[in-house]
Amino acid sequence: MKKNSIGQTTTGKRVAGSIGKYFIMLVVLFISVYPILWVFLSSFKKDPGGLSLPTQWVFDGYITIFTKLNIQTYFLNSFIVTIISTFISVLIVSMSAYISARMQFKGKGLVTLMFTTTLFIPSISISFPIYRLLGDLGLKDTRTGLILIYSGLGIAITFFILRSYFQTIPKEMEEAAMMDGCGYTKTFFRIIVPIAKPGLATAAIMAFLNNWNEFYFASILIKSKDKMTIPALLGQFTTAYSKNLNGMFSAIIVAVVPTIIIFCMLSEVFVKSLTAGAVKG
Amino acid sequence: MKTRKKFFTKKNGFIFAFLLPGIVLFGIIYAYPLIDIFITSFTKWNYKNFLQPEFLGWDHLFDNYIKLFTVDKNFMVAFWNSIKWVILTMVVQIPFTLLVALVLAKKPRGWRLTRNAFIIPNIISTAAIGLIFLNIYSPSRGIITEVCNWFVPGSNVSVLANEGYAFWGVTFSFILFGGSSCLLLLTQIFSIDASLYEAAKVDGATGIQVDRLITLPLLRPMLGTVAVMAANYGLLLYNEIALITQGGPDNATYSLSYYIYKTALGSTKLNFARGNTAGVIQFLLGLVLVGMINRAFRTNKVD
Repeated sequence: MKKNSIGQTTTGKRVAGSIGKYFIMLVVLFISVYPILWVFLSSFKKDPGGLSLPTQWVFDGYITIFTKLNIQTYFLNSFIVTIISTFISVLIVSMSAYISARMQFKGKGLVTLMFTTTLFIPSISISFPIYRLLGDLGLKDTRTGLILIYSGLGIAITFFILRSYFQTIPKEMEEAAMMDGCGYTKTFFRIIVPIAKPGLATAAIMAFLNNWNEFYFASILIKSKDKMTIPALLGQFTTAYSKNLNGMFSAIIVAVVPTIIIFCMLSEVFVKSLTAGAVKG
Repeated sequence: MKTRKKFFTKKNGFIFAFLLPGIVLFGIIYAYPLIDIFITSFTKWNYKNFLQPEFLGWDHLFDNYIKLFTVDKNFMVAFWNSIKWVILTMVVQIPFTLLVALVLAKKPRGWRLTRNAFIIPNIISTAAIGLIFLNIYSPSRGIITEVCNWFVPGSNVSVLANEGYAFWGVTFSFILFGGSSCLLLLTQIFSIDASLYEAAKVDGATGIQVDRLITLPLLRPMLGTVAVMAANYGLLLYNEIALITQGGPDNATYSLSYYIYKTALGSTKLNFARGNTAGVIQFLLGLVLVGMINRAFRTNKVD
């Protein structure tokens, strides 16, 4: 190891260092923000696109998507599908994760392995059997079908987060509850769930984000326009609406801005959620 | 009698009841489809025998696999593109993300803002990102053509109409967006014992030396995790292709995922068996990849 004293580092080097740092940060800011900003500015142009600023601010696109396109319907669909599927998956997986974190039984290793390996099963490679299964169940082109799929898609991440959270809860909690005559089920819902709220919230945020943004299954399963989610609607723009450019640019903005606003308001919560389960502090 | 009694305890009943919904969900969404694609990859099953897959017979057991690699041009394009995208995430996305994480870890002014901005492309829907880039690349309303015309007047580059450029068009719609990975790395760096840095400072190590000799070795397991996630993303790439190029021009930007979709669901010559075979290959490729990356990033010392 070379040993330089800090005093020897010339100011020139340090200046170059911080120029480099700020240059990298600028690049990051540019690639992250500019594409969205460009779409935002373009959405107000009479002739959307190009590098210039709007000379004349036009709101036609926004008016169209709220009045003619009824984007509210798609938001509502997205909300229904996302909230229900997030709730179901967090509920079901939390029960399994609790058993895996706490109970001793035969086949425990197998059950844990089962949930964790789902991380390595690509959803598109198995999408055709799922598509057919939903057809057999009569769930093609229904929101229920989408909810069923979304409930299962994020199992692994939810499982990781919740299992490690349950493991941090001291065992004495349950023992005390059992002493007081609480059954297993009651102990879980009355004692464990309230304690594990932060972990559950983290898992729910992750599941919500993934389900809210899911595009593939939404685009292959839902064909009726009144049942589409926001990402599926955006997929339609590649062909159907390419003539209404203002509409397309405005729809992109309307689709991404709620996520961005919520993220800005709750950035610390998000940051914690996104890193949960993976980082050992 | 005794063992039976022991098995049906209240506790076991509880374990069973709590695991059951999870296992059912796993069965429907993962186990059944996975078994199904494995089995049907050994059958003849397309639009001609829509209802009933036909077993290929022991002599022709691997026909679907052989055909994919010998006759099916689209599959070969998809296969190599997916591998290229995996490699590109390893040589572009991971180093870039790591560099950003190391810079932000020094907490220069505005680091938090930069970090949060970097996450935004990862939390908005990839459908939106795809649509944004579709417009950016458009010759009539986009900006790439305009910018290229500054340097080479009259070049009128059309990113998505050119086979070679279209691949890079898809690549640049995701390759630099490593925000969540950056966040994971950053959190891991912040959790490194501060006394290590103090000691290095006392020894007079420079910033780059500290990064190289303290941060990077301790970051290795997390780099492995992040690399697995990124490689998986590259291998499974679908949304960007579906929205930006739709596999074109001339099927040059197919990925494995897009091939599976097109073959099993999205064309007139539906070939379910072949789509499922490609699914099996994608699944196995993913496992190999995870194994390789885990091996490369495994820390030798256990402490």
